[in-house]
Amino acid sequence: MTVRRLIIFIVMMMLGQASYAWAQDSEASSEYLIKAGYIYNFAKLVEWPATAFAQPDSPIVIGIVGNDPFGPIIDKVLEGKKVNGHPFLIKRLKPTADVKECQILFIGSSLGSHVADTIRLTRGTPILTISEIPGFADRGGIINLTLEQNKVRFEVNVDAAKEADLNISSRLLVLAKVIQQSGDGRKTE
Amino acid sequence: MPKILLVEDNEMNRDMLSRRLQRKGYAVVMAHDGEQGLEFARSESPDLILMDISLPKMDGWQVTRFLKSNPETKGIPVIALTAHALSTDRQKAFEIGCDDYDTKPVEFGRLSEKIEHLLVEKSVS
Amino acid sequence: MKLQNLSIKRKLMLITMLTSSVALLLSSASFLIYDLISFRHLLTQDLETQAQIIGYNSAAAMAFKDEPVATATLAALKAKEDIVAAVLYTPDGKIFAQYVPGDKAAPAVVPPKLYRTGYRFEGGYFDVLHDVTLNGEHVGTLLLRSDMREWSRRAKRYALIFFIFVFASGLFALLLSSKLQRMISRPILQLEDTIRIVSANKNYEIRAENTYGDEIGRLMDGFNNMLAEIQQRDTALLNANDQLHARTEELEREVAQRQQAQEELLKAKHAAEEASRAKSAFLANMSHELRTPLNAIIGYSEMLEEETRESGNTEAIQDLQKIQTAGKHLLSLINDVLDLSKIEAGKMTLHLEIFDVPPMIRQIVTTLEPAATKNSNVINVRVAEGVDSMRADITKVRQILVNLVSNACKFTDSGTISVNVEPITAEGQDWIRFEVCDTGIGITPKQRKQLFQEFAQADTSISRKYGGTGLGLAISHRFAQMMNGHIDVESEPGKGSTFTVLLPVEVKSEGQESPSSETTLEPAKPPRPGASNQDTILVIDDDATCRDLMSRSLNKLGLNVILTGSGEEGIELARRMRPFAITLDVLLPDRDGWSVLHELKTDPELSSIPVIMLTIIDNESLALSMGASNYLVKPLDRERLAVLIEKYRAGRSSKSPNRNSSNRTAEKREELAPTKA
Repeated sequence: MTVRRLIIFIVMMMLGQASYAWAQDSEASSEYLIKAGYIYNFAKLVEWPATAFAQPDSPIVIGIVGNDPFGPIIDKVLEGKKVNGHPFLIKRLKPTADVKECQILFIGSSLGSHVADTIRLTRGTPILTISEIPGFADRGGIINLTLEQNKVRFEVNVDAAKEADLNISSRLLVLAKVIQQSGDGRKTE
Repeated sequence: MPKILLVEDNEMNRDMLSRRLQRKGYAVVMAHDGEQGLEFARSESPDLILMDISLPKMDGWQVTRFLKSNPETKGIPVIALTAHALSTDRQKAFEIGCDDYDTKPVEFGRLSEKIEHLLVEKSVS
Repeated sequence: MKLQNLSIKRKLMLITMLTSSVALLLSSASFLIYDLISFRHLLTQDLETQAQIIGYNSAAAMAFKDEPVATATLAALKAKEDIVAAVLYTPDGKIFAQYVPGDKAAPAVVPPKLYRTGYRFEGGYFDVLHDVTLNGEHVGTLLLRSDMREWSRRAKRYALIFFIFVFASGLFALLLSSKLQRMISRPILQLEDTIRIVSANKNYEIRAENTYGDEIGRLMDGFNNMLAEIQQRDTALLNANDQLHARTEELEREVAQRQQAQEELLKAKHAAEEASRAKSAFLANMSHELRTPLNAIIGYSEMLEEETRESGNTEAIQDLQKIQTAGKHLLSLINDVLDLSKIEAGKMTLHLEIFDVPPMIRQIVTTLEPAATKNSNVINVRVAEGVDSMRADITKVRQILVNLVSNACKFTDSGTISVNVEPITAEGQDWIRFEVCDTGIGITPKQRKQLFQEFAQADTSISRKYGGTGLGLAISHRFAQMMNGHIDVESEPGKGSTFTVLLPVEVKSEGQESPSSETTLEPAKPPRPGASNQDTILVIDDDATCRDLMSRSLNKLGLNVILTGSGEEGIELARRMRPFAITLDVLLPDRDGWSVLHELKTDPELSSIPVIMLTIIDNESLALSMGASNYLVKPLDRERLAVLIEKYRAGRSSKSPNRNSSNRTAEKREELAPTKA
């Protein structure tokens, strides 16, 4: 399909660019390498409900809306990897796209102001919402990636996860800053 | 006259014999035991000795032996007069050195023949 | 201390203890070891599980590189005291997080290879390596190091328990075994005791008390049986011993009896011997005593007769003759009586010698001529060819014949008396038969019965008419018997009588041994002064074969033979050995045999020894004139030699071999010895 080819070509280009960019901007890219790794690990430590996957080997769709800070890094990191038999499929989506087909949704920081909508949109659906937008978890997002002392950390909103019918492993929670919020803004840590 | 020394312890025998000998013409010297016999043999130098064997103390054999071992007297012929006529006595007589022997009781005729014979011989040798 | 020599008790206890100890040791050891191994296994598992858990729990931290969390997770191991170190390694082997209690340093870096799950025991520690994975992805390696203190503790505890246990049970075993060993040892000790007592006291009645049914019991039974048997044997032995004693006593008694009997016999024997000696002495004395006066009577009457003749008194002559006759008769009576007494006393002995028969016959006949002519009788003599010499007691033979012939003369008037002598062979033996026949009055059968009995003259009237003692025939008979011969008579009254005397040619006296053919040369006996060695003969011959032959034949005659091949030596030997005869060969190597002969004959000591010349040259006259007693020509006539030897042995030839003429005369004289009628 030429469109596909085109996409691939574009992706490749972008990758090339990205890698070029990555090579140039290593610091910035290493952060996102780590974050990509995190996302991979999140996938390992999060349990989707049975309905989330059509088949046991259906891919874990990672949708990226908004700006894509990872670039080709995340593709590279997740290439060939599987979690519980599910390979990864990364989709970069328009904000208006249907996100329901994703298991993981990464919301780029460009959508900072519209984050509440996206959250509202994905509430109750088994989608692991991840962002780096500050306060993401407070607002109902499930995982928020942070930088603390040059270390990538993350916050996890367990209530939001429960609402999303996602079972987050305690192992992950141990590592995270746990946020309990009923969704209306009240924080309970 | 030849001299005969008669050594005999029995008196009667001595008497008989000496008388007959004298009648025959012999001079007779008599000894009545062995000792005397030896003595007379030496001192009287008889020409012949009639030796009775059964003498007291020293018997006739012993006397004869002495006589025959003594150079003075061994030349004198000796006739042993023995009461036995056994061959052993005869043997003994010769062993001892007797020149002849005769048995008792003496048969005078026989005895005088023997005496004569010996005297003849002695005179010859 | 040898094991073998320990007492049963010790042995049993030792066995028991050893067995039980070993069993105990082995079982408890194996149990303990098993337990410890299991425990370790458990601990291992535990630790592995721990590692798994920790690994699981720290997987996320490892994945997210959350070091504090990882450390915290590790720190949870504080609860486990035995963990000395817990280290999380990154996939490239660097230490990510660690938990090291105390001052200890973190363990050395895991060797790059060992990234896998595994465990090892090293340096007293137990290391578990766990592959930390997150969702299948290797995110790191967890090392858990345990000092296994629990295990060590446990092991130590066990060791202690073990020793205590062993010790305690050892004691217990000791106690128990010391009690139980009695089961075995007691019966054995009892048995030993019993044996000791039995052998010490030699008391076989004792029995071992047996209450055991096992092998020892059987041993005891066996022992008891043995004792029973020994007892039996003992008793039997004692009995036998008693019997033996009894028997020995019996025997001793018997022996004593026998000894006594023997003593008595000995006494009797001595007495008998004494009696015999007394008898002999008596006979000898009597003989002498009786004869002496008679000889005087006869002698003097003879002498008187001679003297009377010379003086011419013819009257007295007859009287004197009567005295003589009576005296002679008395003498013959005495002689007969003495002879018979001697025979009765068993003192009559045979003096055997070889003599020529014909001369003896002639002499007898000559002596009895006067008796024959007295009754106008004629004596005819016939001596057959082949009658030479015989070996017998010449005096007795003479006496027999004189007796028979004089009887014949007495009882015959104007008749003929024939004397026949001939050799015969009968019953495998050679005999000489003397026959005296007369044409006299004969003998009636009745008379014949009593003929040879003493004191029974045919008729007392006869003794008066014919004289005689009546003993002559009895004596003759006895003499013949003694010489293994016999006298027989045939007669017809009125016609005449024939007396036959059979005598062996060679009379052997009783108990005489035939000359042994094995005579060996005896060592030289020192010669008695003047005496010659009765049984030794000297052979001088240069021919060895000759010597050998001579030696053998002479040995057969029972002689000792001295051999020499040299004349000089011969003379020397003759001097030393004094043989009774010498055989001398003429041909000698060193000296001429004649000169040897001469020397032998001129030596006063040796001159009496008869010398038989042996030579191949026939020169008898020379030999005899030289003084040889006899002369034999070689090759030798052995028989002749034997006869000669016998002659010399008996000393029959007169002393001086030089006087050959007087030799014969002497012989004649001696044959005329008128001792018996």
